[in-house]
Amino acid sequence: MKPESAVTAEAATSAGDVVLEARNLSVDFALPAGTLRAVDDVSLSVRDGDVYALVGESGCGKSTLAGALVNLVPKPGVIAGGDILLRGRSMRSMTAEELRRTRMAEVAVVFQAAMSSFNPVVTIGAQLEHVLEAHPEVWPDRREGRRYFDHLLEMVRLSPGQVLGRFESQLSGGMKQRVAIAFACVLKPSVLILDEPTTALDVINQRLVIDVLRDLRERLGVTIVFVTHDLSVVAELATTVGVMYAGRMVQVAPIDTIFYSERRHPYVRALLESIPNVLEPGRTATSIPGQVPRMDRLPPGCRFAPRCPLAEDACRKDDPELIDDHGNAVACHPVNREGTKA
Amino acid sequence: MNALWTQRRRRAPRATRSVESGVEGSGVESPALVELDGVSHRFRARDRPAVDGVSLRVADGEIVAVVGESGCGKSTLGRIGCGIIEPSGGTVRFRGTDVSGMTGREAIGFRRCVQLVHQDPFASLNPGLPLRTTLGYAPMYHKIVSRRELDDFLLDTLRRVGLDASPEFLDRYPHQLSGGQRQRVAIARAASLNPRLIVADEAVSMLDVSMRVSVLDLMLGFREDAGMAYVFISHDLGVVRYFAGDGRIVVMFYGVIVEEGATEDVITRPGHPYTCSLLQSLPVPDPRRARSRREDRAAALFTPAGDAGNVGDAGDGGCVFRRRCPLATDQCATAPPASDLGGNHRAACWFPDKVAELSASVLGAAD
Repeated sequence: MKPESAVTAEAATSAGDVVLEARNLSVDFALPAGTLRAVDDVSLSVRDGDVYALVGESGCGKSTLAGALVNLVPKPGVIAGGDILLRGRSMRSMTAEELRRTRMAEVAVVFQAAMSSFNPVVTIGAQLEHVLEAHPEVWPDRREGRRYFDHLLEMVRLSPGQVLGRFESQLSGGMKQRVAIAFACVLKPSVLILDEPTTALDVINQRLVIDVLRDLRERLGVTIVFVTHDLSVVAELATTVGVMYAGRMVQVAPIDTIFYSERRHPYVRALLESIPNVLEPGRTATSIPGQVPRMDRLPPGCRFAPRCPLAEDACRKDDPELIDDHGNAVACHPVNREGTKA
Repeated sequence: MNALWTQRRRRAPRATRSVESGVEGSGVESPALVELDGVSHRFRARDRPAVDGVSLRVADGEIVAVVGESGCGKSTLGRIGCGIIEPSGGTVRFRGTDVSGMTGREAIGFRRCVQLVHQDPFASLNPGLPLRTTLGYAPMYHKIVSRRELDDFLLDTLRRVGLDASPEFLDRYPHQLSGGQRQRVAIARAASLNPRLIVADEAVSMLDVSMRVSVLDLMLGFREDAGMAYVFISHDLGVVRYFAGDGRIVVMFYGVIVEEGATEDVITRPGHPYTCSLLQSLPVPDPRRARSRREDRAAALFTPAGDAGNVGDAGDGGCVFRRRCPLATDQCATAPPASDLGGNHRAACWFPDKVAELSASVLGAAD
C-alpha cells in the first residue's frame, strides 16, 4: 500500500520552517481522587503558514493541549513533562515577564466561548486601549495601533462604528467571535491559536468565521492552530490534522490523507462516518459505539480498543506508538502491521 | 386556575370555538395535530417582531424541520407551538381547539401531549435535583404512573434512551453526566409522557458531531414505536436531511417563512436564495468538494453578515431577504407572493428562474 502523496495546492504552500513545536508534552491535573493525565506525551510541530487542526471529542484533552501550547494550564493542572518550543525557544524556561511579552505579541489565543472573554462593563474600544497600553513595544504610537485594529475589523467584515463604542452585550455571538479574532491579531502575532472557533455559531456565522480565518492566513501570513470536534470545519480550513483520543495523539497527517488515504486510524474513519452529510440523501451516517473512556479509568493497551472494530489481543495489552510513514503518523497495531507487510 | 397562560386575554369566545371545531371535525379534513394560524410575536423593546404572521400545520406523526440562522424566530415559533409563549397575534389550535381558551383538564392534556426538548442540556436540567426527581415529576403529575411503580417506570425510561438503567443512576445529579447523557435525559423526560408532538429546539447542536447521529437515531426510534410528530428546529441542513428525510422543511428568515416543501425537494432544488445561502454556508466533510465549492461560490458570493443590520425593515412591505440577496432588484421592495414549485413546494421569491440557476451552482458541486 502506497501512502498518499497528495500534496494539495494548499499543503504545498505551507512547507515553511517549524514555528511552534510541542515535544513529549504531558499535562497532569492533581485532583483529590488522584492525578489525571489529560494530555499524555503529545508531540506536534506546526510549520510557518500551516493551518493545523486539533480534532477530537469532548474530554479528549484538545483544549488543554491548546492552552499548554502557550504554557497556560488552568489550576490544578500542571505541565508534567516535555516542552514547548516557539521558534526554537523553550516556553517553559521563560520568565513571567518574557511570557507576558510573548503571549499575544507572538502567539495569540482565542479561547472557546469568545462571548465570555470580554469585560462586560468596558467598551470594546476601551479594551483595545488596555491591550495597546500593555504592549508599547509593538505599537509605540497607539494611533497606529488603533488604525491597524480598524483595518483588522474590516478584514473580519465588521466596521469600527459597529464595534468600538459598544459593550460586549450589544454584539451578537457571531460578531463577538470575529471581534475576538481581530483582538488576537492586533499585536501582529505569527501564530494564532483558536479553541472551537465555530462551535455554538449558526451555519451562516460558521461560514463567515471560516472565510475570515482563510483571509487572515492569506493576507497576514499568520499560522493558525485550531481545536474542533467537527471534521467538516477541518475539511474547509486545515492543511494538517492531529487527531486526539483520550489524551493521546492517534494520527497526524496532511488534510487529504486524513480524508482519503487507506492508511488511517480506525477512530478517524469512525469519526468521518458519524457526520450527517448534506450532500448525501438517506441515513448513511453511523454513530461510534460506546463512549470516550473516563480519564481515571483508562483501558489497558490502546485506549480506543473497546470501541474499535479492528481490535485484537495485542491492542488490549500494548499501547501502540505513532509510526510515521511519509508524514502520515498513525498509532494503531493493525494499521501499522498492514503497512510493514506491503 | 389552570389556564394555559396565566395572564390570558381571551381571544375567541367559547361559542366560536365550538363552531370551528365542529366544522373541522365534520370529516371534510381531519384537524391538524397542531396548527399555527397567522401567529405573530414581538418581544418587548424589540423593533421587529420575532415571528410575523406565520401559519404552519403539523399533522399526526409528521416531521417538520424549521430551519434558519440565529435570530430568525425559529425558537420563538417552536415555543409558541407548545404553548410556552403566548403569541401577540394569531391562533394556535391543538386538534382543532384554540389553546388560548383551554382551561383545566383540557389545558393539562395539551401540556402533556406537546413536549419541548431544549437546546442546551446544561441549562435545561435543574442542577439541584437528582434524575429521579427530574424524570419522575411529570409522569406523577400527569398520573401516568403511581408512586409505587415509579422506580420501575424510570428504569424502563432510562433503558429506552440507552442510559445505565440502575437505581444508582437515578440518584445522580446533572453535573455527574456528560453532555450527551444529559441530552438523553432531556429527551427521556419529554418522551416518557407519551406526547403526540415533541418540539426539539436545536436538540443536537450543542453535542459533539460524533454524538449527534446516535441521539437523532434515538429520537427516530421513539417515533417508530409511538408515532409522535416532531418539530425539529435546526440551522444545520445536514442534520435536517438525516432526521427529516421523509418529512418537510420550513425555512424561516427574520420572522417569516420564505420557503417550505418536502425535505428532499428543498435541499436538492431550493427555491429561495436564502435556502441556497444556508446550503452554501454549510461545511462539508470532504476537502476536495470543499475546494471546488469554494471556487463555485466565488461566482455567486453572498455577503451574509449574520447581523440584524442586514435585514429588510420591519413592516416596510418589501422582501425580508433583499438586503442580503444577490438577486435583489427594485421589484423586491414589494413582498413577493409564495410561488408554487410543484408538490406542495413553495417559495417566496420574485425570480424563481434565477434561483434555479443559483441553486444549480450550489448543487453543481453536490453532483
